[in-house]
Amino acid sequence: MVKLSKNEEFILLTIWKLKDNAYGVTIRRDFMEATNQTLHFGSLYNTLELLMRKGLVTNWESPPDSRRGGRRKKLYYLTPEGKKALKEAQVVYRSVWQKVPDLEFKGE
Amino acid sequence: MNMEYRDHKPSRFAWWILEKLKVYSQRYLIKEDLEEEYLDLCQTQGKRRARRWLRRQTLLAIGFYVRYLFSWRTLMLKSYLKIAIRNIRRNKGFSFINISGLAIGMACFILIALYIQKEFSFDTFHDKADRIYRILEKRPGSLGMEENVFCTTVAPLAQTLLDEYAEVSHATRIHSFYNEDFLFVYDKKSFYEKGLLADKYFFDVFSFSLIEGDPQSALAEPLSLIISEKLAAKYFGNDEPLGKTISLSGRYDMKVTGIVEDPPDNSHIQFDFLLSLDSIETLRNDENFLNYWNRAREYYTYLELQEAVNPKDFAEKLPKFVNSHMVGVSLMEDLVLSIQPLKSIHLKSKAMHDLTENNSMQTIIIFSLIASLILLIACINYMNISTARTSKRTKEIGVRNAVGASRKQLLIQFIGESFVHTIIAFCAALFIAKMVLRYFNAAVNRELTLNIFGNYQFLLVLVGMIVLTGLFSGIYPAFYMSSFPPANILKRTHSHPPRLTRFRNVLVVTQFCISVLLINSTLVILKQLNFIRNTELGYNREHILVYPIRDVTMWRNFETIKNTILQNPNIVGVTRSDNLPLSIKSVIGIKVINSVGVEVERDIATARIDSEFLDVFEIDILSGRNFSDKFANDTKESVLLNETAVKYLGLTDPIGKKCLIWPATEGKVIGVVKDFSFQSLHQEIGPLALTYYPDVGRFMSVKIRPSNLQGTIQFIKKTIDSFEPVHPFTFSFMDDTFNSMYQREQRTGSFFGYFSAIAIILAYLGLFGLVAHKVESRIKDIGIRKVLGASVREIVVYLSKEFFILIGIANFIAIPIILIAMHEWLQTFAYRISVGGEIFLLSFGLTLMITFLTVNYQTLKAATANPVDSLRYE
Repeated sequence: MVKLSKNEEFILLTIWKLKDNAYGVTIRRDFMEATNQTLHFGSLYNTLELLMRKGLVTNWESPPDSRRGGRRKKLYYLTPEGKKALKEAQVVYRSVWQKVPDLEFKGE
Repeated sequence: MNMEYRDHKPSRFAWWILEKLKVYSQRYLIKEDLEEEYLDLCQTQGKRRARRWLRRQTLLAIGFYVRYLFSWRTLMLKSYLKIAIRNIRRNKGFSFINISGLAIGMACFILIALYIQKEFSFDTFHDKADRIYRILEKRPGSLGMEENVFCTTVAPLAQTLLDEYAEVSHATRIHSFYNEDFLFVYDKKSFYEKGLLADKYFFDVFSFSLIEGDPQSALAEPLSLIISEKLAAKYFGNDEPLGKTISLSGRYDMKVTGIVEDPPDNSHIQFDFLLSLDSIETLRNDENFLNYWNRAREYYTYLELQEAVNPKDFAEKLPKFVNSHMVGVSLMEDLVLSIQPLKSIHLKSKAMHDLTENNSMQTIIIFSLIASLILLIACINYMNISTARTSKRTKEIGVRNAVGASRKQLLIQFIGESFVHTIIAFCAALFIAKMVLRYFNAAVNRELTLNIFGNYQFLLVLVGMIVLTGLFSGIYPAFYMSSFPPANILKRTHSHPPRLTRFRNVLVVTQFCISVLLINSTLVILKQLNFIRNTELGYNREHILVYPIRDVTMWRNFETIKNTILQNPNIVGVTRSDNLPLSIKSVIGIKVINSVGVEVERDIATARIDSEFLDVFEIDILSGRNFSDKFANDTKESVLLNETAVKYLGLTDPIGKKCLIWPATEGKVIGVVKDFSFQSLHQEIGPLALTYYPDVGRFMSVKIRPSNLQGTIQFIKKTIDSFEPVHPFTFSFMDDTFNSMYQREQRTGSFFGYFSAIAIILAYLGLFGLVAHKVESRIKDIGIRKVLGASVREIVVYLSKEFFILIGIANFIAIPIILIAMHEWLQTFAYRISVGGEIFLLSFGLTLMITFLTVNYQTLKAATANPVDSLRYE
């Protein structure tokens, strides 16, 4: 089983969620919306680098995109290992959460 | 979109930085991502905020980029370090040569850097050091001497300058009292002490700190005394010194009014005590001694200028000052006053009568040159041995190449390795420097301490030295080793290209050039010093005991004392004079009518002697007669001239010619003496006039026989002690005094000696390494030659020929450089050797001999080895 940090996990999730539109700008935006935390580009790249070295993410450089003002973009995809890692993480989460009493304190 | 882009053009600088972040820009297209976000922000939040955001992101990206680099590079760095250390362990011999060479080179550099730092720190500790200036007097040339700038002035100058120029905020005067020792008598004990006289403004200008006493008033009264901590401990121990009285020569009572910290060793003003300047009127028994404009030019005047004053503007006003105050004062009219910054006194002062022995910029330059050259030799050793050893590491390089190491990575690895070596060597160098610091201190006559965190400038120099050494010695081997195509390396078809061998030869020649230069300089200096020691001075300085006459009773009873002393059979003669032939510095006006009948008035060196002077010092009289008490007119009127003076004054038949020496109104020449050297041997013999004053001399010189020296000295001491009530007996031998005049040259000589020895050791260490490598890499070659019938001699010649040729070339190149450099140095002596062939032959022979020893030990070993062993190798 691959060990993932929280940032790595969230970024993997975001890439999966964005499907064919996962590149630097969108990943960062989505991450920030979902977690309400700032994520600097540098930090994002370093995490992506780690994920790629672990073999969970690959990338593909798209040709210049007219909608993006003639700029190229780097699109990211999960590899089968990446998907597996996410699934495993999900299983772990479920099993951990099941044994935890409800966090909503009622009647207070 | 394009329109928008033009409107919201982000800063080009940020873009440039983003492009430079290689991995980010290539692998992640950071520029494109940031640009998109930036344009969005421009629309939603405005251009200014967007720009700020972009700037922030760019900066942050740099930070993350650095972190990225480190997180992935540390792994490689660790591996490099491991390889470097393994290599050191595997090639113990070669690593030892490399590292010890660098360590010795760096130790020299550290020591010399320490010394230079000390020299530059002179007089910087005063709070207002930048604004303090010393007055210099350029006096019209006398004797045709070139150096006629003095740092002493007349007494009233300081106060007058302070009164008339608003630019001057404080002025103070110091008097050295003719460098005489003062006799302190306290509690029945007496000691000679060295100190200065200073006026009450001393502490306004200088930042010597008073431990006790009031800086304003401590020097205000005549005969008030400030003593250093050292003296306070010596005389009073735990008692309170303030208010106590110390007797000066048993005649004056000085009151202790303060205690001052011992002056730091980087001060050009050195003293154990300060006596108030007003005391000089009492000591000289002259109420007006501090008011003379026309005499007693003996005061060191220091000014402190106001903060905003430009010293150049102030200096320009000084000629006007001379015009308004000194015209009409005899001997002062042609004076040129100038100012000299306090901080430049130690290294740049060329004035006469300086308070302490100064250093010169030239020494600093020579020292730093030597330090750099020795370090250069060490770096060259490193380069040579590293490149030579490349063949041993080709497999490692090949494999690294094959698994995808880029050239840059190899470069980083090899430079990194040289840094590992450099840092190990640096630690060793610090240790070595600490060990030899004591001897170095003795050689340069300073008290240096090694504290690398002592001040940031020194630390910076050390870091700079490490970086430069690491880079310089590592960069060439690194480029060289990373330059082979990998396939060649693995196939082992690679051999040293001739280009490299040539380069290495150039380096070896450079090294030996430097060594030969240093050897030759040492030889020249030693030879010159030896020459000085044996120069015919024109008088005999051997076995002459000099006793300085201090007390009035001695003065009055001199004839009795002299006759008592002369009764001892071991004493040849006694004479009394106001100067010793070692250094006659008094100058006086002389007036003669020369051979063509013109009256000539000149300044001329003079000494006042008695009738035994010429006999005791064995100075020949060429014509005429010696002074004698039989001629009543001899005193003050008769004059003896030396040969140079006769020529200088333009006399042809001097004996009996009219000759007036100030203040005489009558006088004639009674004799001519043979030229003898009466100043330092740096100067030619000048014109000299001797006059007969048998009872004014301050020095008693006794010529003694060398047998039973101690007994004779005891006898003289006993005789003098019975007449001399106060001053303890002190004496010196003229020979010793003469030698100490050339201490500086002697120090330079020993300094060159040590460092050329180090340079030679380093250069031969490198040569040893090169030969070892050559033998090792030719081992099969030698084996085959032997099998084919080559003799031992042929193999030795085959292996070592190249090195001898290189040493020969180095010697050859060094010769003209030495000729030029040493010629310059020798010019400072009036009496000098000529740099002849024998010195070059000596150094050539020396280098060849050491080369022979270094090279032949190994080549012989290789040549006599059994070829079977070498051919089976592998």
